[in-house]
Amino acid sequence: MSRRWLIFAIAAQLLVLAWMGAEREWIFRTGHVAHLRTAPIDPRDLFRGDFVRLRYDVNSVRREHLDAAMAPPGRERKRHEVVYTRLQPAGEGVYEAAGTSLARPAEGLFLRGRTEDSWRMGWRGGGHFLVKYGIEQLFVEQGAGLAIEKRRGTRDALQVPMEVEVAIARSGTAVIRGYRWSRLGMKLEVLRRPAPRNRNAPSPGPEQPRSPKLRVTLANASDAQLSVADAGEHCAFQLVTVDWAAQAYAPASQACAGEQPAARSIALAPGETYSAELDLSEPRWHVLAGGKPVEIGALPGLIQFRIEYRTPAAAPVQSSLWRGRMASQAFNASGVID
Amino acid sequence: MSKHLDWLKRELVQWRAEGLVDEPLAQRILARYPAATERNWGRIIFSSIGAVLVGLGVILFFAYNWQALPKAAKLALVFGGLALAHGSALAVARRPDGARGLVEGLHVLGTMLFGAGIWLVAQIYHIDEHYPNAFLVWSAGALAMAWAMPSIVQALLALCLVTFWAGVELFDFHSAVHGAPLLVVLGVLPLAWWRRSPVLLFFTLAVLFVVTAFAAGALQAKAVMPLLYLMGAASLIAGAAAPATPFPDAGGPLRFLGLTVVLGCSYLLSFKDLAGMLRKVDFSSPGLALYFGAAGLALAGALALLARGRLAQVDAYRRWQLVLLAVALAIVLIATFRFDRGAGLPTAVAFNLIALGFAALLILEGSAQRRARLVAVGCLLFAMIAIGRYADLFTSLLVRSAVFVAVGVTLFLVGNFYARSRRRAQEAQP
Repeated sequence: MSRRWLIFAIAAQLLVLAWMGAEREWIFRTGHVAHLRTAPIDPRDLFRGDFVRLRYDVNSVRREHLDAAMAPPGRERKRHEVVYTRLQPAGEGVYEAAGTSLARPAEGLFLRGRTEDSWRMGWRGGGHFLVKYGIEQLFVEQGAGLAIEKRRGTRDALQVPMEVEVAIARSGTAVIRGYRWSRLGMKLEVLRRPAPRNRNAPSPGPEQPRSPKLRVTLANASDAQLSVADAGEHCAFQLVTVDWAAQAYAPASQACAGEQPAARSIALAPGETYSAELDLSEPRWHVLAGGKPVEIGALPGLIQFRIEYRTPAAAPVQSSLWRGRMASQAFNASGVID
Repeated sequence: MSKHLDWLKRELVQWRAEGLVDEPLAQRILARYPAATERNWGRIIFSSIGAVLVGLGVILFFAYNWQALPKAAKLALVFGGLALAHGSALAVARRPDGARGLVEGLHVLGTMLFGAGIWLVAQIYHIDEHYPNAFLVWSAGALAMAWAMPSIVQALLALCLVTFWAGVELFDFHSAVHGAPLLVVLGVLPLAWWRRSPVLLFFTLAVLFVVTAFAAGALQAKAVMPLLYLMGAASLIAGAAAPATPFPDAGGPLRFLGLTVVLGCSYLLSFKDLAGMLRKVDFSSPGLALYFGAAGLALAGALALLARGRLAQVDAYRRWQLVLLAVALAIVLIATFRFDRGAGLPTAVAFNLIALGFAALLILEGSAQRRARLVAVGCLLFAMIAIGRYADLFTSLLVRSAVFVAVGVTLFLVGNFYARSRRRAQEAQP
C-alpha cells in the first residue's frame, strides 16, 4: 500500500489517543465540581498499576428513588441500561442521589451511568440496584493504595470517609479530579451482644434484650476546630435499614422527629471525639415488620442496619459546624459488624 | 533455500577441483537455482521482539504511576514517543537500503506505545470503562498498520490482542465476543491471502479456532467440541485442496492445524465421560447457528475445491483419511443434532477405533513417503490411546503389563516397517 495509507494509519492511532484524552480533559477543566462520598478498597491492575476501587453512596439506588417509568414492579430491565441519577447538595460540598431516571433530566446536576448486574439486583427483589458511573477506579502510585485504605480506617477502628472530587459535564459524564478526607470520622463499637440464636432454645424473656447495644463515636479527623450537634437523647442518630430490606423493615418511629428538641453544639479539637451509647432494644429503635413494631433482634439475621448521624436542623449556626449525614458500618441484629 | 544453495556452492568448488565439472558448467548449474530475494527475517524478528519488550516496559513504567511526573509530561512522553517511533520508521524507510527489519521494529514500537497510551489515558483520567475494549482498540490500531505497511508482524500483534480481548471477555465477564472471530476472518485472513503468507495464515487460523471456541463456549459449552471438529475437518480438506489454488503454500498450515484439531478432538472423544457430553446443541441462539452454518459452509467450500481440483491426485492413504473423517464427522453431527442424551460408551468406542485408524494411516503414509514426522505423530497418537485406556479400562496388573508389551511390540514393528519401506524405496531408485 502507499505511504499515504501508512501515514493515515499512524494518524488514526494518534487521533484515537487524542480523542480519548481530550474529552476527559475538557470535562476536567470545564465540568461542574462536586464531591461524592465513597468507601475505598485496594486492588491492582496489570496495565494501569495500583488503583483504589471506589464504592460511592450513589452507586446504590433505592427503589423509592426511581422515577415512575423505571419503577413498575415485576418489570425486567436490561443489564447495562443507561440511567441518569440527579444529585442534590447534602452539606460539606458533598452531593447525594436525589432520584434516578431513564430520561435525561432537563436541568440540574446529574450523573450518567449504567445499571450493573448483581445477585441482589433490585429489579426483581424490590430493594435497590447498582449503577456504575465510570468513576469507580482511582489510579494511584504503586503502594499508595494501601496507605489510602489505612487512612480510611479498619473495621474495628475509626473510619474516615473519602470524598472524591469529580467534574461533571452537562451530559452527565464525570471525571475524577482528586479526593479529600471528610472532616468527620465515625467509629462503631458493640457494647453488648444479644445471646446467640438457637432454633431449639426457648425465645428469651422480655427482660432479656434481643438487640445489641452500640457506642457510636464521632471524631474530628481534620486539623482544625470542628463542631458537631446533638439533641435530646441522641436525636441526631437514626437507625437505617440497609438497601434491599429498607422498605420491608422501616423504622417504626423516629422518637425525636416531632419534638424538635433544642440542639446543642459540641466543639471538638483535632482528634477529639464525642460518643453516644444506643441501646437498640429500646422502643425508639424498633422497626415495622408486617405492620407491627418489633425489636431488630426479632428479624432474620441477614438483615443489616446502619446508624446514621444527621446534623439536626435546629443546630446553632457556626462556621465550624459539620453539616450533613454520615452512616456507620453495616451491622446485624446479632451485633456483627460488616 | 539459501541453505541448499550454500551447500551447492561448496560442492561445486569441490567438483571443479576434482575435474568433474568445468567453470562454464558450474556457472550454468548455479544459474538454475537463483538466490531468492528473501527478507531479512532474523532482523525483522529480533527488532520486533525488542520493540514489543520496550513497549511492555513503557506500559509497566506508566503502570507504576509515578506521581512526581506531571500529567502533561506523561501524555507528552507517550504522544511524542508514538510520533517519534513511527516518524523514525518513515525516515529510515526512505533510505536506499530500506533497512526493512529496523522499519518493522520501529513501527511495532509505535503500535506498542499506542497501546501504552490507551492505558495511560485511562489511568490519568481514572476511566472505569469496560476494560477489554482497550484490547479491541489496540488491535484495531495494529491491524490498520498491518494493512497500510503491509506487515506480517503487526498482523501477528493484532491477533495476540484479539485473543486477549476474547479471553478477558470470557474469563472475566463470561461474555461471548462474536466480534473476535469476525475480526479475524474479515480483518486478518484476507491479509494472509493477499501476502500469500503461510506463517500469518497459520497463526490466523490458530487464533480463529481459539476465539471461536471462546465465543461458542460462552454460549453453550457442549457446542465447542462439534464446532471445532467441523472447523478442523474443513481446514484439513482445504489443506488437501490448497496446492491447486493460487496460494499453494497454504496447504501446510491448513493441514497441520486441521489434523491437530481433528486428532485432538478424536482423542478426547475416546474418553467415555467426554464422549457423553456430545449431545444435542440448542440452536435457539442465533450466534451458535451462525457459527455452525459458517463452519458448514467452509467445509462444503473445501470439499468443492478438492473435488474440482485435486481429488484425483489425492493418494490412497489420504483418501482413507477422508473416509475416516467423514465417519467421525457423521457421528459428531448426528449427536449434535439428534442425541437428547449423550451416548458415552458407544461414542467413545467409535472414537477409539477412529483415532486408531488415523494413527495407522499416518504411520503407513509416513512410511510410504519416507516422512518420519508423520510416523512419529501416528506412533504418539497410538501410544496416547493405549495409555488412556490403560488408565481407565484395566485394573489388573497382568492386563496392564500386556498393554505395555503390546504397545512396545507395535512400536518396534512400526520402526521395522518404516526402515524396510525406506530401504525398498532407496533400492527402487535408479
